[in-house]
Amino acid sequence: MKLDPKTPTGPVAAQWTKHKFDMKLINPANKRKYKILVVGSGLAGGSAAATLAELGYQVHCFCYQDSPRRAHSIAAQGGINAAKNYQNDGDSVYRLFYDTVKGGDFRARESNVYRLSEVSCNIIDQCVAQGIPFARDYSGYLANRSFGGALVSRTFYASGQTGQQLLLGAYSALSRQIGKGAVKMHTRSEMLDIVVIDGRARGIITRNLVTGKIESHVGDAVILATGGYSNVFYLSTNAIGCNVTAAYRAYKKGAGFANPCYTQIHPTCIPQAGDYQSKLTLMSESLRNDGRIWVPKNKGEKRAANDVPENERDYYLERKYPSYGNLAPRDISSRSAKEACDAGLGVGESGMGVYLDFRDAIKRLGQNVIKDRYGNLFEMYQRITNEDPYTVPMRIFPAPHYTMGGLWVDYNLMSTIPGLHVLGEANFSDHGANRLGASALMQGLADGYFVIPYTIAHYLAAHKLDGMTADHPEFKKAEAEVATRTKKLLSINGTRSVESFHKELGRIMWDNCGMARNKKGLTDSLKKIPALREEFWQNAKVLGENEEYNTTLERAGRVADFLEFAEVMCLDALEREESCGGHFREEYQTEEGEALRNDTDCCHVTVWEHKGENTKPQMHKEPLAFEEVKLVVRSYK
Amino acid sequence: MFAFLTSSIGKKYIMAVTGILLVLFTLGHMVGNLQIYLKPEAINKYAHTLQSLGGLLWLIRGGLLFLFVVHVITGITLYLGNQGARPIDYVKPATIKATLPSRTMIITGLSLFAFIVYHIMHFTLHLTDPSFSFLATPEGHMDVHRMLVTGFGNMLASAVYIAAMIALGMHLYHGATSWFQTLGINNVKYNCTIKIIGPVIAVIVFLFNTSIPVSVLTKFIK
Amino acid sequence: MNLTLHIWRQKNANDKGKMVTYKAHDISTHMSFLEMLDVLNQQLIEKNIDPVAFDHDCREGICGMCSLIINGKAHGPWSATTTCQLHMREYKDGDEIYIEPWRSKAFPVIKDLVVNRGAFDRIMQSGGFVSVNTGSAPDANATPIAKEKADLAMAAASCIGCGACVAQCKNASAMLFVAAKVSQFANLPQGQIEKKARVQNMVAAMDREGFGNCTNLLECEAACPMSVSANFIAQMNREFFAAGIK
Repeated sequence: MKLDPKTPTGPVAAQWTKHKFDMKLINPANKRKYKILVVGSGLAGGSAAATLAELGYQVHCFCYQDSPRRAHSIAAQGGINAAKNYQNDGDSVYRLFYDTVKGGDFRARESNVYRLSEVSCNIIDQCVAQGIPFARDYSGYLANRSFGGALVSRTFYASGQTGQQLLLGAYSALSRQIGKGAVKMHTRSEMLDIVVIDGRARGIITRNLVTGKIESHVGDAVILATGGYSNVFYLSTNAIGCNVTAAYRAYKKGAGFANPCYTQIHPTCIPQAGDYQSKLTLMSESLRNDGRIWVPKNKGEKRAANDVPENERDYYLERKYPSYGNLAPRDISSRSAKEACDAGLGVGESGMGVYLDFRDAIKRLGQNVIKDRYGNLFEMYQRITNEDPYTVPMRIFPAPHYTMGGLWVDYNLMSTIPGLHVLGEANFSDHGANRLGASALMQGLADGYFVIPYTIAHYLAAHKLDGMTADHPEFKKAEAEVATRTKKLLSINGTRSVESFHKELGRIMWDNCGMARNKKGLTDSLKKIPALREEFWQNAKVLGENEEYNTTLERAGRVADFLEFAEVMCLDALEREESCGGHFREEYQTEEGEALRNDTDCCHVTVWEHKGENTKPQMHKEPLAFEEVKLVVRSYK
Repeated sequence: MFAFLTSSIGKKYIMAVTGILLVLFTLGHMVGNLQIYLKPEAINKYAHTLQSLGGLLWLIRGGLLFLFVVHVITGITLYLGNQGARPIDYVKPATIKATLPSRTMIITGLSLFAFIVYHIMHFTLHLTDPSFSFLATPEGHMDVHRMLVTGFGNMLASAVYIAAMIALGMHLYHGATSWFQTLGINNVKYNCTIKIIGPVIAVIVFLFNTSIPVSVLTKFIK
Repeated sequence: MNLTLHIWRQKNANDKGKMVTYKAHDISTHMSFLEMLDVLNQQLIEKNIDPVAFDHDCREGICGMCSLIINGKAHGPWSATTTCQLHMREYKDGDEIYIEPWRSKAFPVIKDLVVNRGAFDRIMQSGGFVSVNTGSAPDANATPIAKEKADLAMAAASCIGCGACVAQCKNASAMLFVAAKVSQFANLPQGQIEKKARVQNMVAAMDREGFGNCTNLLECEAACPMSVSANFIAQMNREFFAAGIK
C-alpha cells in the first residue's frame, strides 16, 4: 500500500489556492456523463450530493434511514466554527488552523487542517444564504460563542440545534436537486460492499432494507460519507443505526484504515441508568461555559449535592487547569471525570458521574438568562432523569461520541482505492488525535460543499468513460458474496441474541480501548474479540428471512462487522505507544499523571491494510511533519 | 385563481368567507327577531318592510342561498376528503386539545342544514301549518307576531328550534373563531381575543334565539 | 412492572394486519418507551416470534425517525416529547398500552409500526429550499436580520419532520409540517425571492399526496414534539392567499 498524501508544495497558506489551479477541470457539457455514487446523506454526503448535482454530475445518493434528513449530523447541538472574526477578538484562519492542529495533539496533517480553516468562512456564508436561522444579536448580525476550550468566540449556532439546522440546509439543497431529477435518492438502502475493477472503485452493492433486494450500482466514482463507528462501544451518543459497515467493507476491499483507535469521549453526557440502556444522551458541551464541575472531596459522600458545603467540594478542573477551568478540552475533561470516579468520588446511584452545577451561574445571571441559553438542554435532562437541573446539579459522565479515525485519504480526500473518496467523520483527515468542539459540522460541510467538488473533477478528468455496466463479472461476484453472507447470517440458527453480542463487545471495548488503555487490556481484548466473533457465527440468533423488512438481520450484519473491526482498533491502540489527544495509554504518563506524547516514535498516521480473513492486517505509517505549528506539549494549565 | 380555489387552502378560504357572511346574516336575523319583545306592531312592520323589498328581497334570498349552498357543498367535500385521508382509523383514538364543537362541525352543520329546510317550510312557506298564511294584521299584512306565538306554542316545534340552536351555538363556537386562522388574521398579541370571539358569538346567538320559544312557552310573550 | 401491550402487527404493505396482545415483563420505570419495546423484542426473539418493527434512530428526540401512536396520542402522553424521550415512569404496573402506526393515506405502512413518510420528502422537493448554488453566497453578515425574525424562523425551522402532526390530526392533514417550512423562509430575507412559487408548489405537492384538509382543530401543535405553533399555519394561509391574488 502506497501512502501518498499528495500535499501541494509551497507555504501552507497558499496550498489550496495553488492546488485548485493545478487540478484538472471537466467541461460543463461533459459533467453530466459522469455518475457519482454518494453513500450517506449527512452533512458531508448531503452537501456533496447536492453540490455535485448543481455542477451537473449525475448523482445517486444512498442512506439507511427513511429520509436523508435523518442522518445523525442532526444531533449536533453546540455549533459550527468559522474563522470569521466577527467578534474582533483576534481570530483568523491561521488561528483556527493553529488551534485545530494543537487541539488534535499534533496528529493531523497540516495541509488538510489549513484548508479546513480556510473554507470555514464560506460555509457560514453558504448556510446563511440557504436560510438557516443562525442565532443573531439585537443588531441583526450573527451571534457567536466561545466553545470547547477556544479562547476566541468563533462558534456560530442555531438555538441548541445547530446540527439539525445545518443538516436541514444541506437536505433542502439536496431536495432541490432530487426535485429536479439531478439526484436519484435511495432511502432505506444499506451499502454492503464496494466493487473495485481494474484497481478503481466502480460501484457499490446495496441491500434494500424494505424488500431485501440486493442491487448493484455503477458509478465513475464513489463517495463514502458514512459517519463514525462509536457504536463499536455499544453505548455511545451515536444513533442506533450508525455503523462501520460501509467503511469496513471498503477496508476489506483495499482501503487503508487510519488511526482506528482515535475515538473521542465526550465529557457531558447523561450517566447510564441501567443495563437495558440502548444509548447515551449527550448534552451540549456549551453547558460547561456556565456550569461548574465538581465531586465531593470525601469518598462515600452520602449527602444530597446541595447539602455538601463549599469547602467539601472539589472543583477539580478549576483546581488543576486554572486558565481553562471548566472549559478544558474534551479529553482532559473526560479523563478527569473518569479518574474522579475511579477514585471512588463519583456521584449518583452507580457512582459513575460527576456534578455539573449551575447554582453560581443562576445566582450571577438569573434563572432567565440560563433558561435562555440552555432551556432545551435542561428540559431534556429533566425528561430523562426526572431531576430539575435548576435546583439540583446535573450529573454527567463521559461517553463515546466521535471517531477521529477513519479511512485514510490524501489531500484530495481519496482513499487508497482510486476513485473511492471519503468525507466527513468517515475519513481520518482533519482532527488528529482529538477533535475540537464545533469542528465536526465544519469538517463535514467543508468536505462536501467546498473540497470534493473540486477534487473529484481532478480524478474523473484523468479517467476515460468506459460504459461500465452492472453486468461486469465483478459486480455479479460482489452481489453473490453479499447474498451468501446474508444467507449465512440467517442460517446460524443459534440461541443468543445479536444485541447481547454487541453489548459484550461494547463492554470489552469500553473497558480496554476507551479513554484509558494499557498493553495488558489490549492484548486480552485481542484474544476475547476473536472468541466472541467465533461464538457469534456459531450461536447468534437471527430470525426471519432476507426478502422482508428484517431489523434483526440488519443489526446482525452491522454487529458482525463491528466484531471484526474492533480487533483492528485494539491492534492500533496497542501499536500507538504514547498518550495523546483523546486517548491515554496508561504506560505513558508524566509523574503528575498527565498524558505523555511520544513524538520520537509516534508522530505518524497509522494505516492498516487488510490482508485476508484471520490474518493480521499490515501496518503502514504516514509520517507527519509540522512546519507551521511547532510541536509543543499541550498545556491547558 | 381557479388553482387557488380548488386547493385545500382555497377551499378553506371559501368556508371562511361564506362562513363570515352567514354569521353576519345570523346576527342580523337574530336582531330582527328580537323585536318580538317589543309590541306586536314592531315585528310585523319589520316583516312587512322586508316583504316589500320586492326584487331586492329575491336578490338577498338568492345571495343567501348561494352562500349557503357553497358553504354546505364545500364543507361536505372537505369532510369527504378528510375521511379519505385516513382510510384505516385508530383502534384507540384520543384527542389532546381539540374542542368538541371543533370535532363535530360536520354533524352540527348537517343538522343545521336539515333545520333550515324545516325552518323555511315552517315560517316562510308555511307548509307545516298552512293556516299561518291566513294570519293577518288589521292592515291586511302578514301577522308575524301571531305566527311566532302560534308556532312556538307547539312544544315539539319549540324543542326542534332549541335543539337547532344548540347545534348552531356549537357550530359558531368553532366556526366564528376559526376563520381568523384560515384567513391568516393572526397576531400573537391578539390571539387570546380572537380565540373567544367564536364562543362569545355562539353564546349570544344561542341565548337570544332560544329565549324566543322559551318566552312563548312560558307565556312571557302572548 | 408488567404491562399489557396491544400492538399493530402487519407483515408487509400488502398484509391486512391486526392488533396483537403481548405481555411485557420486568419493565423498569427508568426505561424510555423504545427501550421498553427493545425488552419486549428480546423476549419475543427468545420465543422465536418476529420482533416488532418500529422506526427509531437517534433516540435523543431530534432525528424525527421515531413515531408511534400510544393510546391514541402521537408520541404518547407527554407534551413536546418524542416517543424515544417518553419514559416508563409515566406508566404503572398492570397498565394496558395500545401502540399503533401513524395512520394516513399518505403514510402507507411498511411493516408493523413502520410507515413510509416519503410524502414529506416529496413536498420538500417541490419547494422547501432557497435556490442558492454552493459558492454563490455573499458574506454572511451582509444582510442583517432582526433577532425577532430570526428567532421566529428558528421556531418554525425546528420541525423534525416526524409526522406526528399528520398522525394526530383528525383529518390527517400535513398543514403544520408544510407551514413550518414555508414560514421559516417567509420570515427571512433569503426566502423572499421565491416566496410565491414556494408556497404554491408546496401546497400543491401536499394536496397531491392525499393528506386531509385543515379544520383548525390544532391537534397538530398539541402533538408536535418540537412545539411548532399553529400560528405558522395562519402565516402560510396568508402567504398562499397573497401568492394566489398576485
